[in-house]
Amino acid sequence: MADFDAIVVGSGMNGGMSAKELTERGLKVLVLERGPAIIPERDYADQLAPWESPHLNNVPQEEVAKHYSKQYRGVAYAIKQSNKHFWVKDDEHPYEEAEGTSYDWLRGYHTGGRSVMWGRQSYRLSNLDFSANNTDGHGIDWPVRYEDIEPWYAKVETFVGISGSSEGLPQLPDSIFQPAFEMTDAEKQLKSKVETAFPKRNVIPARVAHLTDATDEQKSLGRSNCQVRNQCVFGCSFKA
Amino acid sequence: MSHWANAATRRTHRKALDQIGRALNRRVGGGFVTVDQETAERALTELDAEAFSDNNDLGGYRSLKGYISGFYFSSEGGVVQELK
Repeated sequence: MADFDAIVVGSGMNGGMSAKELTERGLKVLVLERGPAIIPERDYADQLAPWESPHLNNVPQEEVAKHYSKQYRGVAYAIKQSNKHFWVKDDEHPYEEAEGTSYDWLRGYHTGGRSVMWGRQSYRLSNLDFSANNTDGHGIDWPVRYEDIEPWYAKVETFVGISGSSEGLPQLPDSIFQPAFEMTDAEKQLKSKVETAFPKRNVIPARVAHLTDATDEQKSLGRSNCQVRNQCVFGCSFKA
Repeated sequence: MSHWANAATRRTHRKALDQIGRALNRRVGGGFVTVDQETAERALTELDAEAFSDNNDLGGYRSLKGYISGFYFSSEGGVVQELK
């Protein structure tokens, strides 16, 4: 049997990053993934027009009820005929919920896990969050503060690529940003009205893991800038 | 699309269609499908305005209109021709 320095269980957001860091430090790493490999050229559906899939790319309601009741309740907009293979069938992967509780576990079993399906929204926590338990007197105080985590935020953001605007807001620390998407005219109007009426409120662009100025490292990995097609849920052939 | 909706959705849409038919017939004082185009469009415009005003029971109309618009602009005709 082969020997490994580390075994990572699951290849999703955490497992994938863990495996990357460990291998780059010279460790021999085994990644275990329960699902099949995602091959973008085969499995992404972002190049298909809606009419090229059955039901104009909608999943029939009876199929939703049978297989995707929890997944669909969580992200109906993201589960289409052409990309439903990204999502688990709830009836084939049941789990128990404590009496009186309900939890919709949104999942995908494949290489990359939910990093293939996440919504890309990427925000740093602030010390407001890290000290909240202590301030409120509820739960257990975080053993770390923002200053401890900040270098790691910066490291991940530099690799992943986050678009956004530096705002200097203490409650929402700035990330390492690529240029933000320009607001639409309606969004600019909203920002103007809100910030005039409520001077302490801020309307800012979303902070999202979309490349808008890909770095050399990102380009070397085959990634390129977001094409603003709004096809993210189908997998991104541009790897943006 | 003919096999997309489940039985409950089909029943809901059929009820909405019946309601729309009755409302249009009432507006033109008879059979909506037999009136001239100008009269038909006027009745439909009025019904549409009512459906998107406050306090009405035309939720079925709004729902169907949403579906039709969404599905049309997901079709090749809607996207390739209409939006060209």
